Amino acid sequence: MEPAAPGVAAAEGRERPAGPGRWLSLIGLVLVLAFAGVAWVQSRALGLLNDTVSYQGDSLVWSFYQLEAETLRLRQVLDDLADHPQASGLEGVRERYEIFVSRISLIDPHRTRAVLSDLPRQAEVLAALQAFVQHADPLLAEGEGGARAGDARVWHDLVHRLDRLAAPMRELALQVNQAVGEQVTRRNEAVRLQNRIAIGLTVFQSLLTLAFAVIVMRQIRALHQRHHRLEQLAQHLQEARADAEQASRTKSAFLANMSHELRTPFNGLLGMLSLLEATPLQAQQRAHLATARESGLHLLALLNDVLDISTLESGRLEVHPHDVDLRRLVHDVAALMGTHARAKGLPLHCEVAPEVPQTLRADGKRLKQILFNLLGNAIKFTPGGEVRLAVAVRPAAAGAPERLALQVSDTGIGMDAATLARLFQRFSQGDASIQRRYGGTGLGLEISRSLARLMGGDIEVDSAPGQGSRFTVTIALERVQAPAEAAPPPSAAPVPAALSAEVLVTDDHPVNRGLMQAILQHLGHRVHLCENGAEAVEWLRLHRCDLVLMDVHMPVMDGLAATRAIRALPPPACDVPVIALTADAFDAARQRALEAGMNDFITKPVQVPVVVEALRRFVPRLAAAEDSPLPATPPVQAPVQPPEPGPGPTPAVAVSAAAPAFLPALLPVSSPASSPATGPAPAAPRPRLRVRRGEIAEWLDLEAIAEICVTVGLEGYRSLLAGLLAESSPALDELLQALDPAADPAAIRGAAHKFKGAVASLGLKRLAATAKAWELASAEAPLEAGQHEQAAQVLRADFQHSRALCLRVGYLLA
Amino acid sequence: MNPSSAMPRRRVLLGAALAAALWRPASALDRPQGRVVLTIGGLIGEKNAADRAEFDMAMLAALPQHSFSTRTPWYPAARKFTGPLLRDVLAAAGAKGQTLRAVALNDYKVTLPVEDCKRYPVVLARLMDDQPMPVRDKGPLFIIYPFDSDEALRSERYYSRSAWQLKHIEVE
Repeated sequence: MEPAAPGVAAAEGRERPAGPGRWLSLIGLVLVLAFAGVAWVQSRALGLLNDTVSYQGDSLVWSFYQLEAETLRLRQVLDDLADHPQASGLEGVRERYEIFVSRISLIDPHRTRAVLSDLPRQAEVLAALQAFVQHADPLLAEGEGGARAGDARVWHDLVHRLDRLAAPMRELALQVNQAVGEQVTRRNEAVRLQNRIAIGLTVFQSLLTLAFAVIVMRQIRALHQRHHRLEQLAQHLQEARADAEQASRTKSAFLANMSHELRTPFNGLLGMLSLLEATPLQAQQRAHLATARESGLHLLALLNDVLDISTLESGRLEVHPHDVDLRRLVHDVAALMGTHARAKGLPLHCEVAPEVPQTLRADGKRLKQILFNLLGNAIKFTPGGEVRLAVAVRPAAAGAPERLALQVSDTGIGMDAATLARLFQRFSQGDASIQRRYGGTGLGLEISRSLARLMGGDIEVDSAPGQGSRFTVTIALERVQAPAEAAPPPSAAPVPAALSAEVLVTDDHPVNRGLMQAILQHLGHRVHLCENGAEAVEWLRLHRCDLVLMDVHMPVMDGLAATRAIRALPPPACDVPVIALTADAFDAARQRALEAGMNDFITKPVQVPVVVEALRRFVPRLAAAEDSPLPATPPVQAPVQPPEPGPGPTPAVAVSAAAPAFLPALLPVSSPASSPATGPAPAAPRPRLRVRRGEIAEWLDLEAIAEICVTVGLEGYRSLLAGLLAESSPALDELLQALDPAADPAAIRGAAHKFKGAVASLGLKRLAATAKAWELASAEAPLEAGQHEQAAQVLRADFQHSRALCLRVGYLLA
Repeated sequence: MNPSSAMPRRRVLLGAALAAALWRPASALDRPQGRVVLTIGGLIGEKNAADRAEFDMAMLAALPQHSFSTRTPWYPAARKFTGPLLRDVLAAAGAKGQTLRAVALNDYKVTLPVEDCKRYPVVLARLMDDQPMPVRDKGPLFIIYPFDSDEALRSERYYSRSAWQLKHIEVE
């Protein structure tokens, strides 16, 4: 039996068992036969032994010799009787005679035949003996018929007769002896033969058992080898899988990075397009620009989808629940999508059931994303009719917990069953023709459903061709006790100088540096700027600060390495809190930052409240001051959240749905009549300021503003600007106080410098230039009398004009 | 059955039994009246001769009789054997030994353990097929084991212990 050569495992698996199996059963059969043979031999031996016991046991030879001996004894007593005739002698003769007769029956053929088949003299001797008995019986009978003791002649005659029997009997005894000897020899030979057979069978049996064992061993070895091969295969597969997974992860990460990298310049591009639209254009140019902008928006949406799907694929898509004002969220979404719907001539109805709580715990950003997707689809695929968003609570039932149900229904083209079945598959849209007609990646629904499931719910669809579609998002309803408003947003008001913190901002990008500087100075803090990690570490060796804001990706030394270097500094420098600034939205990036020793993480674009909150957390005296506000603090409230009478995106919307919110917000720069429905125009009337051609570009650094908007969002910029250009601006007041002729002349230069930095960082270039001029002037020589007043007037005028322009353009809300 | 006739007979039997019970310890073993067919010597408690117990056929026939049919190596067919149990005969002689030496008329001698008599109903056969056995037909007494009742008995050991033409037992 040859084990199959190592080869295709499957073929082996099919063919191998047949061969050895047949052999094993054959050997087993032969073994059984061999055992049967052994049993037969054994039973034969037992039979032989029984024969011996039954027939030979009484010792035939002994019987014959005994008969001969008895004959001699009888002859002896007869001889004695003949010589000494006595009655007692006759008794003895009779007894011996009886014993003699009893011996005759023992050589009867019926006893001997079984052992000794043919004894030639037996019959003859037996006949002679019986003849003797017949003759002697009457003579030895007791009573009248018998002979008397004195009949010596009779006894002599009997002796004589016995003598004649002696020779044949002797011969017969010898014959029997020989025959029995022969018999014993034969029996021995039979036993020997059987022993030989038994030995042969045993040897055969042993060989078979050996063969059996060998086959079994080979089988086991083959099994082991196969097991080993399978293990190796499994290991290879595992390695291959690990490789493939690694490759997939790398690809996903690359995709995520790429889409992320693409997004940043893209926002800049879109910003520029918007600013371009604000310039005087011919109708055709404007149309081209609108097409470019729409293409850009579409591309940005695709990039966002790709970013999400790669996150989803790498299993890193997560939701971060927090307290959400649900009614407001729904309102914002409906307001934003309502403009899209109205642009298409569709009414968007929004109904929130009364039992829906004001506040709940959810990931508001992701919930919005789902609603944007579903409403976007509904608007896209509904040529006419209406789109409806209904929010209700689905009570707990049959083991399912209480859920929030958000239903988006339309009167659009609907879907058939086959389309429904494919709906949530990646890259699948209704069908190819629909894809051509409507565009899109087909990723949105998959992302939405994954998000809904992450939030403890799902998305259900109900649709029929031509009957419209109804998508229902359910999420786990986690009620919260306190309404979201209970925690007021941190005050973005400047802190008094006593509390002012020293903050080190490290960022390689000048706009980001400027922006952070503007935000922090606006908040009343002192800022030191570094362009990379190495500079920051060097600065920290010699200086103390309260907080470090550190970009993660920088040349020379990145934020992670810098943080490790800072942590390695001698105390107390190493204890400074470090907060990462990064546009990297992944949790893994956050994890890496924390592992490097960073204390927290601020995601770009930076939002002012987040910065305020971070300062409050990491600069203890700020938190303490907030708990017990100093009465001296002027209650100047920079409107982070400008009051909006009409529906409009909140700052969060502006950031998370940057693309749709960004442009409409900037659009009022162009003629308000040209796009009345595209943006949530502030309802308050604006001061009618006549703006001459080129004036805006002269006064405002539009490029810088666009970049700031890309970074913080328009709302962020608005809130910063509102703080700086308030009717009673603390920044301007500070400078004007320094310009008081009674004040320290040396203070003018510093105040002017600070004011210049603040206004320049927000793109107010004309105002910055004015401030710089006075800074330089005061640096050359102390201002003369009257110059103070002049400077104050010029600054006030430029300040008011900048403010008016910003109001006119929409950067400031009235 | 007639109760009036049964009553006297029962009374007679009772009286005979009582008489026998009273009389027995006085006279150990009867003297044989007929021809002595078996003598028992050696370690025995009951003697009716100088140094041995002697039995005639009547004394053996007076003991409780047992009979069974069995095949033997000496006859082609099964034969019925009848006689007292060997242990009863030994008890009658007050035998106290552990082994018996049986001696036959033809001077055949064989030793058998007393244990055999206790374990098996060994019969001292005096009748074969209900007929007395002449000497020429292995009589007058024949020690017979119940060969057919136990396979262990069908061996040369027990065949050789079955002494025929028995005339004397020596208790040792």
